[in-house]
Amino acid sequence: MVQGAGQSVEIQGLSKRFGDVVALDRVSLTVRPGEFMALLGPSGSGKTTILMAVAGFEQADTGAIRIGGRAIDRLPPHKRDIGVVFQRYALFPHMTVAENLAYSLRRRGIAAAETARRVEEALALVKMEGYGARGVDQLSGGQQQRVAIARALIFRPAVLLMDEPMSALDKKLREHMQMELRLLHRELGATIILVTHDQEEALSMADRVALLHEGRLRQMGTPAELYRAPADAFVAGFIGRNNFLPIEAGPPLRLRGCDGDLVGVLAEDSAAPRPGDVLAIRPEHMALLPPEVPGGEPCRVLETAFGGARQTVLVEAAHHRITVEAAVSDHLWQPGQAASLHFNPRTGRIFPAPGPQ
Amino acid sequence: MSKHLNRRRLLAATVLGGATTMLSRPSLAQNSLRGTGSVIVHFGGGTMGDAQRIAYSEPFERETGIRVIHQAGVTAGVQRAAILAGAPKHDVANISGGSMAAFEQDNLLLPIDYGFWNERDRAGYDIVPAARLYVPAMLYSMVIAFDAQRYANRSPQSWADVWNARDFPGRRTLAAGANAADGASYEIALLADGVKPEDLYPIDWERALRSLDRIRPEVTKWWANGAESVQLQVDRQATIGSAWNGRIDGANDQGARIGKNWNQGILQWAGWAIPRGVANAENAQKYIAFMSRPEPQARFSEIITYGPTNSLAFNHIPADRAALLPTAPAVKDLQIVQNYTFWNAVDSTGQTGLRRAISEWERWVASRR
Amino acid sequence: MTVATRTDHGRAAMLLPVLLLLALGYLGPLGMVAWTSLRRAGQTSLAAYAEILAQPVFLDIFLRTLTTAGIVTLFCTAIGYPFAYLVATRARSWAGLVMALVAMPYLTSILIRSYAWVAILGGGGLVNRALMALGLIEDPLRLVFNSFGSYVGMVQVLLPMMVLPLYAAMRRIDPTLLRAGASLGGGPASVFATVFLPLSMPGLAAGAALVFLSALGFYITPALLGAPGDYMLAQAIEVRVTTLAEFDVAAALSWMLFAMVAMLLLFLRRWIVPLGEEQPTARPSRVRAVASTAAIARLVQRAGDRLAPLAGPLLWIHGMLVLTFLLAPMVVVVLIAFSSAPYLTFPPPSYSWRWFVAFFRDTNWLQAGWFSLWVSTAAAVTTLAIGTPFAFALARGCFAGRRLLWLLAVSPMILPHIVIGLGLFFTFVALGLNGHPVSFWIAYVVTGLPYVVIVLVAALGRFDRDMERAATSLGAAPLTVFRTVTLPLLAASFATAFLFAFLSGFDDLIIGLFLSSPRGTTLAIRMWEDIRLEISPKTAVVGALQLAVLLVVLGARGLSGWVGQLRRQRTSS
Ligand SMILES: Nc1ncnc2c1ncn2[C@@H]1O[C@H](COP(=O)(O)OP(=O)(O)OP(=O)(O)O)[C@@H](O)[C@H]1O
Ligand SMILES: [Mg+2]
Repeated sequence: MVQGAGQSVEIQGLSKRFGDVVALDRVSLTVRPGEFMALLGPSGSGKTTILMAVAGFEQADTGAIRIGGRAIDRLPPHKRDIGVVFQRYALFPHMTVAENLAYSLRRRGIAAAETARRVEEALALVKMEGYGARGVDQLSGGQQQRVAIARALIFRPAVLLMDEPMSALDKKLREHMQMELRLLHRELGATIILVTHDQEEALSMADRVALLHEGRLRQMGTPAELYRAPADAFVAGFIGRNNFLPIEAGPPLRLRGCDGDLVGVLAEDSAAPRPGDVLAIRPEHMALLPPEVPGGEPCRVLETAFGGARQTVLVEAAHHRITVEAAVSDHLWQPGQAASLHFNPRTGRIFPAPGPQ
Repeated sequence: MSKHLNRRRLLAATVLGGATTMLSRPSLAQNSLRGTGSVIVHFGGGTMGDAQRIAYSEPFERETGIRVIHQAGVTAGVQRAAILAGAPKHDVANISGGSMAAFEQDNLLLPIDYGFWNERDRAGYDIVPAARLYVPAMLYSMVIAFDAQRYANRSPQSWADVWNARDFPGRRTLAAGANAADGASYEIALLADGVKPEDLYPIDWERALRSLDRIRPEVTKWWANGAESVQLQVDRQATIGSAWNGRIDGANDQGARIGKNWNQGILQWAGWAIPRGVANAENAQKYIAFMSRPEPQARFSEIITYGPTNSLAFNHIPADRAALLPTAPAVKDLQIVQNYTFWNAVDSTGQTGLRRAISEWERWVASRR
Repeated sequence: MTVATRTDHGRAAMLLPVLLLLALGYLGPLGMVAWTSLRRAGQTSLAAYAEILAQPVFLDIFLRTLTTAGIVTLFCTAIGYPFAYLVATRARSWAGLVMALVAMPYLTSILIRSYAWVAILGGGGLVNRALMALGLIEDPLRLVFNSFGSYVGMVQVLLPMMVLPLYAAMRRIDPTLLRAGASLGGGPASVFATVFLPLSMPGLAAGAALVFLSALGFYITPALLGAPGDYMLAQAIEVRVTTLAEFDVAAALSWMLFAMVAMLLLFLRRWIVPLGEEQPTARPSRVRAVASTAAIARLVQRAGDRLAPLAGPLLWIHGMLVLTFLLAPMVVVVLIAFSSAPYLTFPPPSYSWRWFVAFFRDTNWLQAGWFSLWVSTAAAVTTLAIGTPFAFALARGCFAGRRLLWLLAVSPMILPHIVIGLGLFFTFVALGLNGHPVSFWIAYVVTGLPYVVIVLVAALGRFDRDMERAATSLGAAPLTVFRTVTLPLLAASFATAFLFAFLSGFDDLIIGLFLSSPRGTTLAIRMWEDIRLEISPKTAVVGALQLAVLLVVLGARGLSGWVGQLRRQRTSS
């Protein structure tokens, strides 16, 4: 498949209400040409609404969208040249796989021979050779999805929108498809916006991730940025895992009910602690050591989960429940054991206490 | 069917041929009806339509050169709306006697031009006279109809016999009262209750309905249209009832065995008229004038047993055929001519008889379900 | 902002053709009728209304008409729902047959169709003879010329109007949803009650609306098969137009009927008018609420789960009975068409082609048949062409007045056709279209519109719009999306709408009588003219011929489908 140059997508101040529900609240974000952007957020956060607005199926109340620098508000959806993979695939049940694939080419008046060639090519791309004559209801879920992706790619759109395309797949197939999609992206160079509420998918696939919550853009950045420097407690909790521990505003900085000074634990760019704030610290940024090791918080193991190279341990320290990730090579913890909990330096962050979620 | 029709056609053609040679001299004396163009006339369909085409339209076209366009008949209400809208359905309309008065009252008809007629023919209309605005088209009678086999020994002689379920057991069928004058059920109910023909009008609605109450349990079906009245008897769903004489003969011609009794028959008529606003008024006058002649009327009654309106036609009808007709001298006086004046007159409640009949019926079926 | 006005323009463009047509072919004429109802002796007065209100019998007739229509709707639901369920879930290959069944009762004149019922149900009819031969009864049962007969006749004609929209709705219910319901612990009966039933609701609502509104206008069938007490309002109106020429009272009665039905519809609008936002969420939850509040419902469901294994065989038995019920009169009609008897009698004494010969010799009938065919087809095509965008705008737009527009488009079904005919006739004369075939065309578009709007609005209510969005994203312009995706996916609904629209014109007699002229006379009028005085088997020939055409079309479709399937199998293997 010939390389199609991706185009930028700029979204500015997009707002949309459905009756009383605010689906989007002044969302602005820019996707660079050829970039793989993931829209991440919990269910109902407005991800699909953004896609629908970009594709032109939903009129935003306010705001503007530009593609390749061109305002598209007045461009009808069928002239936008945007490939869309729908949340439920939306394959045409009254057509065969090949007819589904050929649909966009026929709309563009491409000759039959050329169409046939490109359909074969697209089938090969998604490893579905020989399935052209099948009806779409004769395909498995994963095959349907691959057809949906091939259908969205076959006319070489500059922008590809995908709405949770892999939610229906089993873990193995999903990982396989994620890899395929990355390869495809590199091969095609199209701009991709992928909607997902699976953070691992977002982090592992995308160049950058935009995190949405209740219609608002909470943070946008590379996966590493989101992981390392979450903008607020919501992001901190949504990306990776995190313990939110109540603190007593020092000095010295202490966990409520504990004695140890935690000042050295805070990251350099963390905010200064104020009363009522919480300390966010990831399980992988703590160590669980035998109780006799000094300098830690004494604690007791409540529950453990084995995960191959690592062990997830739930401990209780001063009535706080804390999740810790420990390397299995050290020691295999058992419930009821006493331990001492150590915080890695410069890993914790202070956030205002998150609202009820 | 083809055999049947051919036989009928053949018959008509012989009569026609005979008529033209036999009557060629008097026809010279007749007024010339020659003309041009066309005329749209009411068409009855079925056997009625055959009779009309063979007896009237085809010879009329041959004689006058005017093309006849047959157009399906419509109900009186549709015709009335059409005239009011200025677009009558027919140049020559066929309106039942019961509805005619309303058309007259509202001035919806053109006067008949008797100048096209032969002098003596108008006098021939001696049962129902040819009037200023209409000409009776045919006479027919609502008579006692019964299963000729079942009542072979003793057949019903009066409407009182029809009401007499003990001596004449069997299911009944009578016209639904919503048919108003045309169904004649109110007159029939009063006659069955012993009212003398001369006292029939004005109709005593209460008494008529009480009489209908009595027969109600025996009635299998209150028929809604003429086809039904006879079909019910053909299928033996009912064995005694009322039906139009022509319908009975029509069914018998085709093998049914329905008896009829002229006694206390209600003699009814339908008339030809020319609506206001027609395009071919003169041709319509000519068509009506043609139909007034005794010879075509005789031919008409040869095909369907609806009596001629011009009694001179009997001069051309064989005796055995004449005996079947409601206006035959022998049976004419057994029947009662329906009083359309009553049916269209406004009573003390401010309603015409027609309207009263329908609203009384609506109340009757509702209150005594 | 600019975007908003653009969609407004678009919506206006979608609504406009229907509105123009209704203005010309409906509102104008009805305005005239309304005016008529207010005129008496050259003056404006409410005398006609006062007269009606002064007579308690009219209240009785109104109530009887509404209850009869209601009961017919209940019967059609009780009989039609399981049948549609059977076809949609277990006998999809019957789909073509179901479509054909719709046309079945319309294939012949109402008089001969009623006669067929008399032949079946009458004292010496097939049913009674069979029961007596089996020794089950000694004297014939009274099955006709009473309310039973009247309901049988009406349900037969109206049942397909219930079955088709139901079938179209049920077909689109995703079977995985049912499995999901089962996986959540529902027994067959409760899955049916909580999942299938709510999802089939739009079809049920559309079917009920079609049946109820059509039944309101029935009067010939009750008059021929019922008792005098089955007197319907449409008959009271008809007799006032045809016998009494009291146009004002007839018009006033029609308006009062319209007002009552409009009020009823607005009252039931959540159920019957499946528009916009109240459709997807509100309804299923309410059903669930109703079902769950009553402990009895749970008991019933549990009992239902027990009995579920019986459901299959029962459904099939029911299906066979329904088919027999729908087809029996047509069988009688076909036998009569081959009768050798010169008059109508059943069973025929022997068989012959004489009535076919008679039919084909009669140029009047052939011409009328041809005229009916093309004028009804033209009208149905037009209705679909303008009714489809109209239904789209109603089903998908969220704008004030949608419900009123729906009611407006559906109202030609509520008002008695004799009154519409009256109004149309005056309008056409005023426009110089009297007797012109165009007048039939306009009239039949108006009378076909309610079917198209009801069926399509219901179908679009549950349509998965992602299909259309997918096509759009692939570069298809709106019309192409419609042609290549919406139309094929809703083919059953579009075919239903077309068929109903066609048949409403083809079967019409009442309006045709007003419009008929030497330039245009329909087959229905010819048949009426021929059998008003004597019912001849010739009319049955028309029915038999139409049935033959229908069977040929069905056969061809079945064959082509079969060949296509074979070819597909061969290429994919
Ligand atoms: N057509 C609509 N009418 C009313 N509300 C809507 C509509 N579409 C979306 N919403 C609401 O807008 C909000 C955002 O919806 P959206 O579909 O964009 O969420 P999402 O992030 O895609 O969620 P999910 O991950 O579950 O797909 C939700 O609260 C949703 O209920
Ligand atoms: Mg979504």
